[in-house]
Amino acid sequence: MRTIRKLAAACTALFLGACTIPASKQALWTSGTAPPSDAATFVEEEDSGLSLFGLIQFTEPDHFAVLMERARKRNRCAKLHHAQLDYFMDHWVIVAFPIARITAVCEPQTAARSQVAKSR
Amino acid sequence: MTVRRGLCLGAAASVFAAAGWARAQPDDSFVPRAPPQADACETSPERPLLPEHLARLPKNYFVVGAALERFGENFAGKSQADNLLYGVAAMWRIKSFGPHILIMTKPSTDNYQNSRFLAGAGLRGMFNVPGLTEFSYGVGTHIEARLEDHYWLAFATPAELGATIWRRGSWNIDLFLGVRRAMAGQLINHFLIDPNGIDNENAQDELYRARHEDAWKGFIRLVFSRRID
Repeated sequence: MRTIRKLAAACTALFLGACTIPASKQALWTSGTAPPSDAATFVEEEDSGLSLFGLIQFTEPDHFAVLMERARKRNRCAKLHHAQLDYFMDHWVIVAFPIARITAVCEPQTAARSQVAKSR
Repeated sequence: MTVRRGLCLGAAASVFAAAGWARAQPDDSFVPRAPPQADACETSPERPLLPEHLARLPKNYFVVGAALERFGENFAGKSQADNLLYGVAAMWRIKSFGPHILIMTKPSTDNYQNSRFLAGAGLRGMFNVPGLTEFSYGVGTHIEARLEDHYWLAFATPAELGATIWRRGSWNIDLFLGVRRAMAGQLINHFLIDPNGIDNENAQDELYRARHEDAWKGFIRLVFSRRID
């Protein structure tokens, strides 16, 4: 009985204390976007905020434009487009992290150069 | 009189007409950087979404996360969960240095008298090995209340070696190995913790052993953290 009680407590704590709650997912592009090239890849960039128990917010994650610029520089993209913004809450026992993550299509610089050469 | 009224009405009508015309004109103060047919969320070196200073990754930031620490001598066998401390670890990363704090507990599910609480602070120096990972060396101090053993102890950590074993996005998993030495300690004589145990002889012996015979202790700590800037 005691083991079952302990197991139930551990499961409840795990369920409540260590879970990810998705909040939103949205596309950040317009119909004017050109289709990606064959050399394009997906890249990710995220930033975390901090809250206590997921209720008291201390810091918010960065703006999506900041994440886009960081992703472009980190992955050396000639162009970054078709971004998707995910916002979710990652609960870890006492602290919880609101996360903003962008996943975008990256046109590598070499591919962009070869496309320019082809068009010439 | 009629002429004056007519003039007034005419003036009012022209004022309204002027106001309406002004409202109908497009606002020239906002000039979009991209042509309307292009994707507003596209970014490239020629047309970045933000100026450099707004997108720069800060050198000073916080790393906050959940910590799991293994203590004791019983590293195999039964009751492994009883030898684990859980808590929160936070570090303020200032370039290559990281002052940090740690709050941990070994909660007792049966009765609070068997709980253990720990609070500490320290300083780490970080160095990156390109192509491998980031390593750290740290020193620290902490104080812990062992209600189960009826005493508190203060420890100094002269050596703590750490390495980032996994990193993705803002996620970090760090592993720390270290040694610490008991520097001070006293019995906790309080009726809420042990009603029959004031100056308990067994507790005194245990405290003496912890302070003098087993003063040096090793530890392994795993920290699941996120970067916050």
